[in-house]
Amino acid sequence: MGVNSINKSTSGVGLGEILEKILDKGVVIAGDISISLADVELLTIKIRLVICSIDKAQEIGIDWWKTDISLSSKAKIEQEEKDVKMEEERFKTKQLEEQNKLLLERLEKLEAIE
Amino acid sequence: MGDKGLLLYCITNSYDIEVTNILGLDQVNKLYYIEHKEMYGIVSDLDLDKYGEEAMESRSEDIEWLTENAKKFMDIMLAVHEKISIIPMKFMTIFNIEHRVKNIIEENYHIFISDFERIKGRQEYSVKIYCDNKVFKKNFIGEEIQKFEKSLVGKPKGAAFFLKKKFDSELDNKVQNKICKIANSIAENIQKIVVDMKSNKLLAKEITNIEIPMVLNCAFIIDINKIEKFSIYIEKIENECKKDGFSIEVSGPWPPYNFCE
Repeated sequence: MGVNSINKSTSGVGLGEILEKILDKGVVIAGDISISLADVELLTIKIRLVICSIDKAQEIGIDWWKTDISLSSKAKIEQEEKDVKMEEERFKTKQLEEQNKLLLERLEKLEAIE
Repeated sequence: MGDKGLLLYCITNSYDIEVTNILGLDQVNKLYYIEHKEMYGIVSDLDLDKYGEEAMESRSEDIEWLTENAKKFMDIMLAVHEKISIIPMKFMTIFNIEHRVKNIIEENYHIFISDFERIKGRQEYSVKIYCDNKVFKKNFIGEEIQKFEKSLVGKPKGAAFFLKKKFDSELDNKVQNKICKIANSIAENIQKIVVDMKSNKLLAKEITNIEIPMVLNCAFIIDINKIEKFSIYIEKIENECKKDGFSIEVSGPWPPYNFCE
């Protein structure tokens, strides 16, 4: 690791590197708009709580988000597969109905001749 | 568009017209200078419907919003910092009118002057050291176990059992202490090369997204002509400590977040 690799490495850094600077450091001057952002410590606690509550919930059998298609990509895929199957069935049914209709028409024609 | 606010990114004492081509946080309005006594505030306009107090109330703890906007903000700061020397502001410092920015420059003029002096010809870098205790323990343990087992020779079984229990529980503490000692000695050596160094809070893995624990987190400001000496030292240390589970992350140059008042 020479001078070059140190000089240019602000890309590809973790989120922590950025947040600890812009949230916890820099010149603090009260703006006209009062916006209170969490500092890195508070943010860490919040993230930890989210992770903990997900783990805890799963432990006791709560995992509804896994089958909610707006939250789980796996559930979304399963739902999409179901949708495709339904479409196929609908198409088959429609084909059978049309076939049926044609056959009935032919039958009527034949009965009319007799 | 609703009411307009001015997001203040930084203070500078140099004018570079290229900065006015950089898009601000909303990716719509460009950066511009507000001048006062040959110092400038660099700002961009923000729609307060999106970034004002009310809008931000729900956002201030929204991790997704924060992640996205923090990255955008830092990209802007780095783009400006590439061209000119700056004193960076904390995230989301917003004013109502240009005159307020001029007031800020007026009120803090001498502080800003001494900040610019402090950072002239220098750059801020960050050093973070991580250590995988399992790897470190493995290397460290052999020696310690040998020492301990020698000490058990001749002791009765019962005593040996309790001594072993005590040894095991003390071992983890010893490992931690040894890791800290090494990290601190690296910090001390860095301190000899740089102008000033600050020790910052260790970041948890929830924020770093790295499984192995951080053992040192420092920011320092270094004369530009000492950077090579510093790189050589880091390279040497990395090679020496890698086998014991250490990894060193250096990043920079950053806007001087840690060395401005």
